[in-house]
Amino acid sequence: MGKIIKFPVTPPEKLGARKVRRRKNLEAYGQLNLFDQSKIISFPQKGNYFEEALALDEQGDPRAIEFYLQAVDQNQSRADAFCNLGILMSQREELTKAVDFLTKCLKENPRHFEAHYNLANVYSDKGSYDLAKMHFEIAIEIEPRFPNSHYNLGLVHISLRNYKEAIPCIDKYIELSPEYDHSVANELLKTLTSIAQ
Amino acid sequence: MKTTASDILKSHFEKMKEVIPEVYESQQDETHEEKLFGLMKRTLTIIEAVYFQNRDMFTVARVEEYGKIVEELKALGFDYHGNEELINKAAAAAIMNAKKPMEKAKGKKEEDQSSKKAM
Repeated sequence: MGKIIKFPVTPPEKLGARKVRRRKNLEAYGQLNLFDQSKIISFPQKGNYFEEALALDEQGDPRAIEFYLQAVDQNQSRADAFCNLGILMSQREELTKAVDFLTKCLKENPRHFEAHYNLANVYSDKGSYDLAKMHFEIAIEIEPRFPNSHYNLGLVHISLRNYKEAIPCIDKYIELSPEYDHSVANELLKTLTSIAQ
Repeated sequence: MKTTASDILKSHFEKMKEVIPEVYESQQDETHEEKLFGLMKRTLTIIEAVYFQNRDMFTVARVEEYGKIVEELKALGFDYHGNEELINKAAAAAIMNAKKPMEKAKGKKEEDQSSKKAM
């Protein structure tokens, strides 16, 4: 009579498909971890000048200007292209050109949030604080939860020596911004409170 | 014809040339440091005069530079308070230097708006 021998079989923990998991320490598996600092980048679609311009702009490539202008010619995100051209001109300290591009953006879309916010920044660089104040206020009307508009409006009020008006702006910034950003704003608030009294 | 900054400076230095011998004659007792301070004050006065002739020509960067010079003079112990209007402008410019940066448009909004059609 034959004898049945029982083999020691370890049943699998879970049957069925198994997900591939990223190995945390590749070198422990004998593989050189060459891409630890790698970054996933998205390639712009061919023929989309705006996306190409934006990608070049993020890398600080001056060719971004040509591509933004092409985007304008091709009717691709015209308002956004004008807006970003305005930023680039402001970085080159060509403030009049910056105002021109940003107002062109507003002609395309009068409620373009970034254009109002950036135009306010350019006006404050030019020392035109009343105009800066107006555009920061419009930016806040469009996107009230963007903290930086409140902060910069507060600074404009300080520049105009309207210390009392600056306090609620800095307060609002503290309310809307992440906690790690509060120390400078808190100090500013203390100083403003003592001046305004 | 519009008077340019160089015209103003030119006429100022012409006047200075005429008065310089007297100025230096009367200041022979001054120390080297005092003479330098006097020269600095006159230079700053020229800057202020140019500013009052054409305010638009003065960029924020120039006003800031003026403010820095006055501050440095004060820090060195010299008694020069500068022009109040320019000093206020310089202070405002220094405050605005702490502003938050500009925001790039990412090209989403226009697509979003075009996709929202009235039903």
